[in-house]
Amino acid sequence: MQTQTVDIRNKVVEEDKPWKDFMRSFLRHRSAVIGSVIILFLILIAIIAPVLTPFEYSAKSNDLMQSPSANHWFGTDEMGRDIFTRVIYGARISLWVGFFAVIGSIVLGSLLGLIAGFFGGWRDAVISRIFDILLAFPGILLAIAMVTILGPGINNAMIAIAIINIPTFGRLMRSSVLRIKEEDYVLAAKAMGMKNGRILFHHILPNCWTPIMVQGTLSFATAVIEAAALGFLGLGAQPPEPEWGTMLADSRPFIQTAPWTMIFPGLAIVLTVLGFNLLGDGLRDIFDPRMKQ
Amino acid sequence: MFWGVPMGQSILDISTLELHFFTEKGVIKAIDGVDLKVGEGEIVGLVGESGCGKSVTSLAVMGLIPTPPGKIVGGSIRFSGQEITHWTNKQMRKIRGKDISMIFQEPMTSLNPLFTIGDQLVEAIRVHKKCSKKEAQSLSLAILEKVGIKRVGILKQYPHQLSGGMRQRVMIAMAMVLEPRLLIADEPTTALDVTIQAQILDLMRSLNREFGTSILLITHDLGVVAEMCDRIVVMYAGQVVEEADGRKLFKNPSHPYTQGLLKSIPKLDENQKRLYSIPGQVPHPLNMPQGCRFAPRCEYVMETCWNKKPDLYEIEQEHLSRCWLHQGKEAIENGKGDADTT
Repeated sequence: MQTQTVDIRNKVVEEDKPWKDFMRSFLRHRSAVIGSVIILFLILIAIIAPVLTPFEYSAKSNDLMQSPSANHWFGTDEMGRDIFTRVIYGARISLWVGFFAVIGSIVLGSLLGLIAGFFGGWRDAVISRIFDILLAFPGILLAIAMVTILGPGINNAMIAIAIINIPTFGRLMRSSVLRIKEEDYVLAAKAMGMKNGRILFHHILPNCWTPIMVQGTLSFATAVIEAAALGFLGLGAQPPEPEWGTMLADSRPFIQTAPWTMIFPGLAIVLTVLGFNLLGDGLRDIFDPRMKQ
Repeated sequence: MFWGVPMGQSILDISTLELHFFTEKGVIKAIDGVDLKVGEGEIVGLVGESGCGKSVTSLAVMGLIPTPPGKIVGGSIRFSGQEITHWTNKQMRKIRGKDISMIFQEPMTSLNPLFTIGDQLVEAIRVHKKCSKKEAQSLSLAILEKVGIKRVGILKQYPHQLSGGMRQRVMIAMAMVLEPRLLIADEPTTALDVTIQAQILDLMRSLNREFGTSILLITHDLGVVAEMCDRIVVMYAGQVVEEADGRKLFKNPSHPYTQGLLKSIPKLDENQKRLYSIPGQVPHPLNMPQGCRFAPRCEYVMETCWNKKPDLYEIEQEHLSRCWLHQGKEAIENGKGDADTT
């Protein structure tokens, strides 16, 4: 071989691993950090809920409608249940529902979007029309209809929320795939004799993740609101489940006499949604190459 | 009918290939009767302007023309004696990357940004070869060394950490690692600095010698083909217009288009006021001239040229040209046009 060898052994470029790079820009982004602190805090209290609370979330007592005190930090409701306990256990339900609803819609939506974008033709036409139909209804209305069919309950609410969010992820994925599949490295992969499945899942999908991740975080917030809304309407979690939306609904008659029965579950919802929105916005900025210094 | 490589020895044999794109506006005849042969161990240059069909030809060989809208409507592509025009995608996949490899114009975007060089090389190997990850990695290092990259930790680096020239070397390594019989290089040096261009061309030539890989080099740069190629095929508007070995083509270009191309190369030693360019534009694919496709831009255009399509004509041994100028009066009179040489 007469090839001239490019030997730059002596100056091996020290560059950071991609995740290190990501962590640096993440820590520099204030709202992303605040958002993730809130979320981590919520996850933590959801996990250690039994340790934090001296009461059972469904335990009734004779202290009805007590205002906040040293014994009952957030007061008690009309059945004498400790609201602090119920709000904390409520975090379990909301995070659980939000997580699985979002994972469900990401998996199904991405898969459909991937197929529609990659193969095109009739598959694209069929899948895109399904998305259009789902988007034609207001989300919460569709969820109500679905829960009515499936029967009320927290799991059915979760399924309904997952389904109404499918088109969001599906369309996002489809548009990313349409862009990525024209990239040279996809053509190069084809020219290397790779199968469609491998190209799809190994070369196209990983390059489409970023917007899905951002949207997933933001959708987590909406999923929490939607779960609370269904609970409020009596279609989500059933009593005595300590679901925030259900608690709000139960407190309606006492807004003026015992405002703490609604203030604390309401604040919990606000805090959760705020956390995920801050994190989602932060991630969007961090992943946006135009924001990189 | 062709000279040069005897039948048995040609690795790629394209004959009267016709490939059309069926679009809403009409049928675009992207390739219109192209004949092209690449012999065992030969380096063939395919030259032409953008849009003349050279890249489409190479994608057709790989079976990577998107269908629809593209479709091969006639002719044949034979790869080491086997007709591959009607092969299924599954059959083609088995030879892609293993027997025929391809490298592309843009090294900056031809590697997946999310995976390391090592991952991508190992993947390319393991698509066709059953071996452990370790074996694939050592194979990768060996081929990287062959293409001139001896860099500690190269396998763990990401594409964005390499320069354009280095990436093109990696692409060549990926294409060559399974020792294919034919390498199609689609403008491999267009996106690179001139200094790097020479290195990459050197590399391809030495790989050609070492592995005996035939190379189909697609380019619009006549300087590149002059340096590299055993034989040169000039394409214009979906047709081959001239074919000769390198020296003959440069010494005695016979087709007016080739002459124009050669004249268009700026020369350092001449004091030109203006750079030469071939007048006019490539005809629109939906609106091809009736006769010779180059007629509207040709300075020697005759009556015949407008009416009658010229065939490839052997003007001397191993030198073909698609031009009425070189064919005898007889041939022109056999055509229907009035033959007035101007």
